[in-house]
Amino acid sequence: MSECLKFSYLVEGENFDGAGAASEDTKARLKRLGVSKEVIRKVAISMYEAEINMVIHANGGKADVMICPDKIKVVMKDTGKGIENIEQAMQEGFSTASEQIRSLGFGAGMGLPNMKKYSDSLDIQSQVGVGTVVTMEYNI
Amino acid sequence: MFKSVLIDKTICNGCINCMKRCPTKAIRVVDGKAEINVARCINCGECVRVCQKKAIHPNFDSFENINKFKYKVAVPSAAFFGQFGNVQDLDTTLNSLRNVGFDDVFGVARGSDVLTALTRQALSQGKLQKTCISSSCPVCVELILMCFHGLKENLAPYIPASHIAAKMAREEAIKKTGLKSEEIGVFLISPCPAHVAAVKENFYQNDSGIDGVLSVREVGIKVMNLRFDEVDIKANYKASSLGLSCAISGGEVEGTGLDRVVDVDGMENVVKFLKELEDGKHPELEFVELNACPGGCVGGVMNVENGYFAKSTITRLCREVMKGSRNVTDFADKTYDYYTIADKWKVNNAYYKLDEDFAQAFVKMRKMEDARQQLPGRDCGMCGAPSCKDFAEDIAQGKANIQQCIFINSDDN
Ligand SMILES: Nc1ncnc2c1ncn2[C@@H]1O[C@H](COP(=O)(O)OP(=O)(O)OP(=O)(O)O)[C@@H](O)[C@H]1O
Ligand code: SF4
Ligand code: SF4
Ligand SMILES: [Mg+2]
Repeated sequence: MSECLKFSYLVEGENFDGAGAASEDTKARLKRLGVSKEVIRKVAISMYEAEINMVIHANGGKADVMICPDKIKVVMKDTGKGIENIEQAMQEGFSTASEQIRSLGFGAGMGLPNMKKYSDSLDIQSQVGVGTVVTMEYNI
Repeated sequence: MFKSVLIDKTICNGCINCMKRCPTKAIRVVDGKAEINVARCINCGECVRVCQKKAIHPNFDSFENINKFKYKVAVPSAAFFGQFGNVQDLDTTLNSLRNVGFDDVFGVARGSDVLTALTRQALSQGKLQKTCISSSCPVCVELILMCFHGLKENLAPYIPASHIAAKMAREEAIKKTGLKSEEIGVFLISPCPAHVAAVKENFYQNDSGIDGVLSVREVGIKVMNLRFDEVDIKANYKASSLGLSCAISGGEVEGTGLDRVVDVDGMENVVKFLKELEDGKHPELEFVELNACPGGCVGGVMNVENGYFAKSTITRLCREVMKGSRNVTDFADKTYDYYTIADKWKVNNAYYKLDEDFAQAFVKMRKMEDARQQLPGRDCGMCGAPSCKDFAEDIAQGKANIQQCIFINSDDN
């Protein structure tokens, strides 16, 4: 089993109806490979949160998924407004979502905490005005 | 494996309607004719519903089989009572079954009463996993075991009401007649190809002693040919209105007496709802009732009457039942395993897993991806697979050749 399988998805900004397609597709692929349902659940939940964040906070971006024999790596990259204070953003309940976004059912400030909880490693690189790169890894 | 639906190849014209509709992508069109991969078929009957040519038929036992037995007991599903809009009372419908050849009748609704009481008690004692998903619709159970593995533990461990009723019917008949068990034939009258398959394959892992599953349509037509005023009333309807309403989506949910419950009906709606449940949405739900058919079992493909009209008839009959006093059957005299599946629910890998071996699955996924890159993504179905994605999977599995794609083929010319 030489190399890893790589998949890329474009995530459209502000498209709430289509949001979640990348994580949904990734979930289906993991099922096809026979990855355990516990791992699938972790990937599905955390990747969905990262995807939604790109949709609502960063006007979309790109999702790269790498599936290797021993681990899964998800990289979500956007060129949105960036996160000012990552430590603060990581706190449960912290959110800058607008009233309008909240009325759609987002903005509880639970996305990043859940990404931390449901991945084996989480790395966030962000620069205000430049963009954000979220990297999550999972052991299979 | 048992084939719950049969395709008449002399009638099938390869139009791809069924292939497009099948929820588990079990159908392919090969040499201009539809073919079903039984390993993936969940017996939902959607293909039967959608075929304009009427080339696909449910597979059920012949009525003549009842004659193999000395004493014949009919176990009609609650949906059966919805088929005769002109009959005003349950006892007439119930006893009409004696006039077409049965010696006795035991309604599935009585089994539903037992199942309801059982479920209610288990839920109140916290014995069932929250969110508990009803195991009554075998199609939905198979769907979960095939496509929603994350919800396996949520499935209730119970056999369906029809199986409970069949067991009780046999015990009652033995007591009444003194005959040996093998002299008694117990026959379900069901609207559901999945229930036929469930009995043939012992899907519920519990010997309920059902000798055959007849179709509501076949038996219903026999009954319709009777003169109802000549039906002799010997037996009385014994179930509650709740038991009867289990033919309608929402009946089971009502029986739980709980607040945080939901009933979903229709294949597409069920699929959509299960996706949300598996993703962890609606964690507050205590109980979920699923019906693959629109409106519940009244919408099953082996019925005679329009499902919505049948629903109206049943609702009317339920009001009748509520007027009289009925003894609701008790369940306390049996042990737990009388009502439950013998072992745990087991996932079925026929849908998702590309290969049992992880390394092989990897190789196949790469092949699938290569094919997908080349295909146009138009999902036209002309290759004989429901979508480009499914076609790519068939190619990866070595079951199809990329040259079958009409876009690729015409590019080469
Ligand atoms: N990709 C991103 N680009 C810019 N800002 C982001 C991004 N992801 C998160 N943030 C910021 O971090 C905050 C916290 O994110 P988190 O996902 O935890 O909560 P939320 O998205 O506001 O609400 P929820 O995820 O519960 O719907 C967001 O409100 C936003 O200000
Ligand atoms: S019965 Fe349902 S699952 Fe089986 S082939 Fe027909 S549509 Fe597909
Ligand atoms: S809803 Fe009823 S009739 Fe339809 S598939 Fe399920 S159990 Fe069978
Ligand atoms: Mg978020």
